[in-house]
Amino acid sequence: MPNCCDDPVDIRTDASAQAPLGKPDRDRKTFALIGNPNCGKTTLFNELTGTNQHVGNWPGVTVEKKIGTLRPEYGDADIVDLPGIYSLTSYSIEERVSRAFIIDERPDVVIDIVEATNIERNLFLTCQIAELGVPLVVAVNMMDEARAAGDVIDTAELSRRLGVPVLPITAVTGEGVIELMHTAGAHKLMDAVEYESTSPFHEGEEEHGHGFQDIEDPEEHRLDHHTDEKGRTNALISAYKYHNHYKGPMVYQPEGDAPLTEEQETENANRRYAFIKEVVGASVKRGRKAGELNRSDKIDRVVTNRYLGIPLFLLVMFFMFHCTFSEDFLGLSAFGLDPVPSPGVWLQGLAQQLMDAITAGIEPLFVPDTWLYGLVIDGVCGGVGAVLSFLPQICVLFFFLTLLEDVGYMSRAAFIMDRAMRPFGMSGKSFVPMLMGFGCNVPAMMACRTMESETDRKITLFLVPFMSCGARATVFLVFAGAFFPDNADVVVMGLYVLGILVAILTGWLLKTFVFKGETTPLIIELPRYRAPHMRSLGLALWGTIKDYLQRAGTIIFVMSVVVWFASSFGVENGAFGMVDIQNSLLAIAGGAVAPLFAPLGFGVWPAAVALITGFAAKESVVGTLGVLANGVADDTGAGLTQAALSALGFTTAGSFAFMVFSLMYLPCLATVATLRRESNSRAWTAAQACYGFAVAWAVAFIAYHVALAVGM
Amino acid sequence: MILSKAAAGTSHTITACHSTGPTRARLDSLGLVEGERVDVLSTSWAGLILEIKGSRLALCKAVADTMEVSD
Repeated sequence: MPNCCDDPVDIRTDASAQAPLGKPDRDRKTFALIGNPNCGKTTLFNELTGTNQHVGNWPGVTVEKKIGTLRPEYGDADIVDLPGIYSLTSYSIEERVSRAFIIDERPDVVIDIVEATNIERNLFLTCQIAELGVPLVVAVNMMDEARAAGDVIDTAELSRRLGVPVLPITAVTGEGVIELMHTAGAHKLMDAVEYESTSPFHEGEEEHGHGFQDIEDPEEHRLDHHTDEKGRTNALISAYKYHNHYKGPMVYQPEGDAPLTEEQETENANRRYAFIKEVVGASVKRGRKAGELNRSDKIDRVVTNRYLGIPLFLLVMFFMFHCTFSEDFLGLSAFGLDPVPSPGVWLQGLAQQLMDAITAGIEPLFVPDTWLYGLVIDGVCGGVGAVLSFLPQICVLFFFLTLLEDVGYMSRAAFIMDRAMRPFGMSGKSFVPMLMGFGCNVPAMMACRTMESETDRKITLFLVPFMSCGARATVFLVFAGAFFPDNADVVVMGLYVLGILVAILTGWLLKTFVFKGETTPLIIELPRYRAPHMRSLGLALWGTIKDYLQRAGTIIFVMSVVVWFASSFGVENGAFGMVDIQNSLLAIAGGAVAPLFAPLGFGVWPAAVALITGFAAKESVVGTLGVLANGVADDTGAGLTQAALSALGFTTAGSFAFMVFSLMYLPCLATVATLRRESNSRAWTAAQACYGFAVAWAVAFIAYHVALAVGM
Repeated sequence: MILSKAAAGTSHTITACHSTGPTRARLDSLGLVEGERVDVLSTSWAGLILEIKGSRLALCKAVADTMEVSD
């Protein structure tokens, strides 16, 4: 294929540039969903698949791959949700993955979602997909918002001018989705119709051409069935002509693996945008003049204000933690009234009661003081129960993070924080993954994939583990609740802030001494503020709950049993058997490590053991202490209270340092594995682990002595 | 003049863009190309917010410094 400045290639006539229809060796139809970030792709995907979806990874890279099966009313096909991207050039992993999927995997139809209120910019990607020559259907989403803004979008005209089918939809309400899927599915039928012109198959099919269900056996219509090579090529071209009549401009196409030059890319962009301008000019009437402020802009006047932006951001963060962790939600104790707990604390209380009730219910089934009783009641109920009772609070925290992302606040946060991050050599883009780290470090690290700069990505990966995840929150909940009941929310928020400070300082160190050079400048889209979509929120929350329960049922269950065994058995008087906890295997192992923590104020073996089990999963720290507390203080029976923790050897100052240490030392195994995968470097992973441990020790040491100095 | 000097509420045409590499590619794909009209919605300490082709883009000052605009 020629690739020269004077001779741009018209892909429309170049059959070799067109991927054939759906992969022949696939037994099910596959659709691909593609679109810009914030175009409502996830909402549509959820609408199309309901809960019939699973998440995997793209081969070779670690970009999340969401695959679902259509709900029966929408047809019978698999649907792949491609990452949200602005363009199909190959600057980010996600762009490369999407491009490769379309070319190599040959989805039967690509459904491109275009945001109605932002149609010009969104059509850029549409042009790039259309240029690949694949069967394409364009869905103009959020028609309701466009109507509300007074925009009139003539999709028929759009379709005529672009040369591909264009349908109006509103994914949130489901409006137009059936028609969209019929059109997408109908491609099969259309193939058949076109096919007829070159073969004698299926006479009169077009008479009832309105849905793919009409075809009993789509395989019959596969172009591959054509044995005659010439006929096949003819059929292929005519089929493409039918559903991808793309009328866009001629552009430079990359030849083999050689990418286009920068000038060619820019020239392509100019041509596409010139074409789009013409198309949009003829088919879209805006209700509002450019530059005129809409409601979203007015909100931004306040939210991104030069003076109010950062204080507002901190206020939002505080409110989130207050709702999740505060024992005194409305500040009533200041007036001498009984405190009302925050939703998070209230739910946690309910969960705790439920766990206690379950334990009390099954307790009579076992004979006390036998190993089975110990295993089930002390081990499993104590360990897994302690972890499970925090599920509601993790959900509340996760709910807020998802909500902020959904309404569009996260990108504002990145913009606001960008300038503040610059002096430390970081961009505001690092800030969003770091915020997500509050939920869980693993998806936060995966969110780094959207960063274009490899250096920034590596740095951010290194910093994410300092962001306190939901699992670490369980440790804070236990200790802050037990030792600082009156201002648990302030202590917990303080720990989160400490994590951020350490991360920022670490970023500065890395940028100053390891990766010298310019930080990638920030260019970020500010999506329109939107009311949260409950269905998506619910699905995200359900994912968290499922994941949490899975961990509680597997890794934490196993750790609890192991900890119980090691804390109940040992060698006494030369014989192996059940012993008092002070003589157990665990006490001996923990005692060997404990002196390392003595300068930090928690040089007791239960603390050491809890931290070691925390490698597996940070919730295990609490699980382990739950098991040990049952062993030490049988009579308390009320979980991890201050009395129980004191019996294990924790002091107030020591517990403060313990929280600080838990915040920063080695993240869990899953995080280490993710860091290894995402950075593709063992050395980088090891460096993070060692650095984290050293920083944790140093900061906890300082925290302990400060706590002592202020009289804790 | 350079874009970072533009005031909130003004409208300009991009006349030149001096960034290169991935930054340039990102600007291209977002429609920040020569000849395009942009509206400056707000300016702040962090950078500025533009309207281009109906979408809102936030640019840090460093990027805005590389773009030349005319009235």
